[in-house]
Amino acid sequence: MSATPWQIGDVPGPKQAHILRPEVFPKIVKTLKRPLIVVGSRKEVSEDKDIANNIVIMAKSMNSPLVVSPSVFKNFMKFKDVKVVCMGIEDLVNHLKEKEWKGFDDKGNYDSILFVGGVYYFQSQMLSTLKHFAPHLKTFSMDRFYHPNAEFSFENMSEVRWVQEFRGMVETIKSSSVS
Amino acid sequence: MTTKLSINELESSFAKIKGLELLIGKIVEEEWDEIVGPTPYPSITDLRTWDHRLLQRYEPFYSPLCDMCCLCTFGKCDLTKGKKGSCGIDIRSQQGKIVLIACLMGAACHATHARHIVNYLIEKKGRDYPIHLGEEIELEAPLIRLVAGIKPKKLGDLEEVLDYIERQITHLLSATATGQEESYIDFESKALHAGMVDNVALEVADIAQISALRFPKGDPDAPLVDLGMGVIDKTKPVILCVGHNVAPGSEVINYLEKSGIYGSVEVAGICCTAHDLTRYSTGAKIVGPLSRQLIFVRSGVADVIILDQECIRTDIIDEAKKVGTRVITTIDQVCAGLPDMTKSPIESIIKELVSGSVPAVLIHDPAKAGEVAVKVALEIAPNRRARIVSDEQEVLDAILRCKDCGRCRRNCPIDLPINEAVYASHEKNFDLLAEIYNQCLLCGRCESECPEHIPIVSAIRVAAMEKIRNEKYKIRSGRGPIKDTEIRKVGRPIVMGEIPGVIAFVGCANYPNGNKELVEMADEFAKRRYIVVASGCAAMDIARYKDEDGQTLYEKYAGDFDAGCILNTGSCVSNAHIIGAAVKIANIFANRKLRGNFEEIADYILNRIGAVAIAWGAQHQKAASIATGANRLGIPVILGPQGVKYRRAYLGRADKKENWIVYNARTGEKVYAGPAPEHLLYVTESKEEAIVTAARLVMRPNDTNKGRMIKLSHYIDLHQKLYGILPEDLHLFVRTEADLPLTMKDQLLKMLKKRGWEPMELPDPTLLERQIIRRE
Repeated sequence: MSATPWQIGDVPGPKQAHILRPEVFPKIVKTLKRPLIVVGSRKEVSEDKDIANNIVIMAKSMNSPLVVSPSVFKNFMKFKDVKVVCMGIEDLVNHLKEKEWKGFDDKGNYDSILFVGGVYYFQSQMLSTLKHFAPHLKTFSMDRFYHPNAEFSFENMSEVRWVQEFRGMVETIKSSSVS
Repeated sequence: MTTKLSINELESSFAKIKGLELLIGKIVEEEWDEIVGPTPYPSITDLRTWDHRLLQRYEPFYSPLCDMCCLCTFGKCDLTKGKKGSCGIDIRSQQGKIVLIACLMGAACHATHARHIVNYLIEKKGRDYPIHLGEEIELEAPLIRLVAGIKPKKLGDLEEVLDYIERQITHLLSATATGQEESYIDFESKALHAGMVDNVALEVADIAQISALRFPKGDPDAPLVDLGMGVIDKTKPVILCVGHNVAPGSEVINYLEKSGIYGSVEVAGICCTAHDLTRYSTGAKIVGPLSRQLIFVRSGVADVIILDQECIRTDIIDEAKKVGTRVITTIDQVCAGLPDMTKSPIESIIKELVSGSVPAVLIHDPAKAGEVAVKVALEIAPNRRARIVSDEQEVLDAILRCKDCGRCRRNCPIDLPINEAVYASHEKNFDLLAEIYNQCLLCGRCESECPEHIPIVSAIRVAAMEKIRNEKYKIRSGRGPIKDTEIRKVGRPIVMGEIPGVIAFVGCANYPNGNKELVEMADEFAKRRYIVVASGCAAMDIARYKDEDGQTLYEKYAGDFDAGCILNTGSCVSNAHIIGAAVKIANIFANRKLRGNFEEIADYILNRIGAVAIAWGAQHQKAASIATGANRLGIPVILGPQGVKYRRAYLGRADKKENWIVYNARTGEKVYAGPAPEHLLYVTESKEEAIVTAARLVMRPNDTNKGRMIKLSHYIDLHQKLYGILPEDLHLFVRTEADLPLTMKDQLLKMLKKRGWEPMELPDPTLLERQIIRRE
């Protein structure tokens, strides 16, 4: 599928996301200094143990905390060797848009926000807020939907392909972090 | 309004005047000795200081739906990357402007609704007809008293209030034009003003119709009435009223009663008109909220549809024509390109409608529209079966054209997997489509996008036919205001925090996952003995679910304004009574003066009354204006995920201690009171988040230790139950050890100490310097 917004009418304007290819993403990941992974409330993502596990592996490999939308937080509680924060996504975005925010470790704001598992239309608007009011951040959408309001987004793809691509991408990120 | 001219002493060549007082305009009999506060009939800037104070704490948070401004011929202007438009506007102010416009649309809808209903009732009953809401309601119009500074006694008094509202809307709308207001904060201040006048308009409309029509007057035992697509008796002629203005529908009932045939014709409604019809007559039925419009009209069950105003689908006349249903529009806001037959003889209108030569007409006279509707329905109903050709086979054939392209899903507002459901029905598996029915908004956007022109909404109807037939529920008819006696009973426990909070379920039917989540939320809070109130489409959707005993929540819980009850105030305009209840508490319990005293009352509510609204399916601009009005009075509102498309929230920052400083009214000292309530308008992504957020937002600086302990018990318990952990922000809400729930005290203290928690003062909180009683 092409890079048209997943929701056909979700055309924001002239500035739309660059397409992010899952095979290229691991290289970009290496350039991110303070990433933050945000997991939205879509149960199809968080309740799939394999996907949840891969998200956690990715966070560990990137040394990134995970912020998880409250309704699916239970799926991530068991992971002890990664920082998992339970927080409403709108509240989080309100903190992120302040450049001087100290982050969850008091070391300052993050430089890149990676979204996965969000309800499409809600996540689109959160990305819009960051696009307009957080120029200090890079935003990535790793969902199977093309999100025009992100700075970089995967293109639209089927569930099956996405699972495969996501798994492969995490594997690469993990192995490159080890090496 | 009255202008008073006083001349103490004047000497000129023309005349010598001493002690002259002239009243120009309407003379109001002054029977209210309450001193007039600082802001009767506030202008668009009179409450600006209060607004700025609120907006400093709860900063506007914007999520633009569109990156461009297209409001003038300079545009389109690209406002990304900090760019400004040709007029100099940036994205923040442009969003503020759009929000203001949305609030004005809502306020204008309610103001015209109020104007129409007041004019209609004055014509029927006269200007001197008394405003009377029942024996236990002396404080009849808390919002009008608060904002306008008058105590309305008669229908005619409401005209003056409406004049004020309309003037404010004009002033505010003018500020949205190119070259006017430029600051996003002042756009927001104006939006708050629009919200406030909106709320007053709600009150005008509802107290007028409660007084002059035979609506319940604050009755907790208002009758249970029928709701659901399955409650309509199809063997009878059916008249369906859609919209919000009860006048034409009530005239249908009047005509049926006068003719002695009421009961032999079904009078039903969709959206708030339905609420008000059942308040007028328990024989009327509610089909459901606005989301039922397309599917019900397509069923062809209605013989005649009467349209009044607001929330009417713009394609309803086309849809009605397809099934031979006749349509009468009645209000000047919805002319729909139809011939105006207001002045035509009744018999000729009936002839045209019955023959179908003119299938839809405009009649600007509620009584005439009512009579025409009845006569036409009686004539055409016997031929309904012939008129409606079953579309079932056509729909089933159409489904086979589906190629699973997925464009239906990609055009669905809530991303439902429609394609999978339609495609599965190729194998005669209709379960998925029937399942979609439970969540579907029934908006029909999927159909518009389908390259194969499959009538998807009709397919959903066919698949869910059995469910639809069994949609038979009971809702308690809208009771209207809260009685003064009820306020006296619960005022203290609410203000002290001993009743954990008032949770209002309000707004439209634009839910992320169907109405069941709304029912679960209402049930959760009622079980926990919060006071649960509802209005509008949300009130209907709370009824659209039965428990294992076959009861709806309205059958399960009492309808009092009391702990552990669920009450339905009524239609959209009955939201006035929910907001008004908070104002009543300030006046009746705390003896705060209302008259033109907005700031003080808003300050009281913000700091002391644990009321929160959940607009889980908010969709219309009216919901935006109602919520914004509630926000100005210090009542937080939680939106469901679709609410993010309103583009703006008002968010607090719990981590910024300086934002939560209040005056201690007893000493004048500035003290930290904690982030309570943390947000004024917050969008949640899930039901779980909405529930826990509501339990957090009911906390107020004024809570007693016992009250805070009760509120914290629920907050902690819900947090653990729904999120799986103890709240990380607990330290922000525990002021002293006495706030801690006893059963968990030791565990929580350990946790607090780890976070470096220290006890804090319990102030007599206010944001207004003038409320300080004495300085030390």
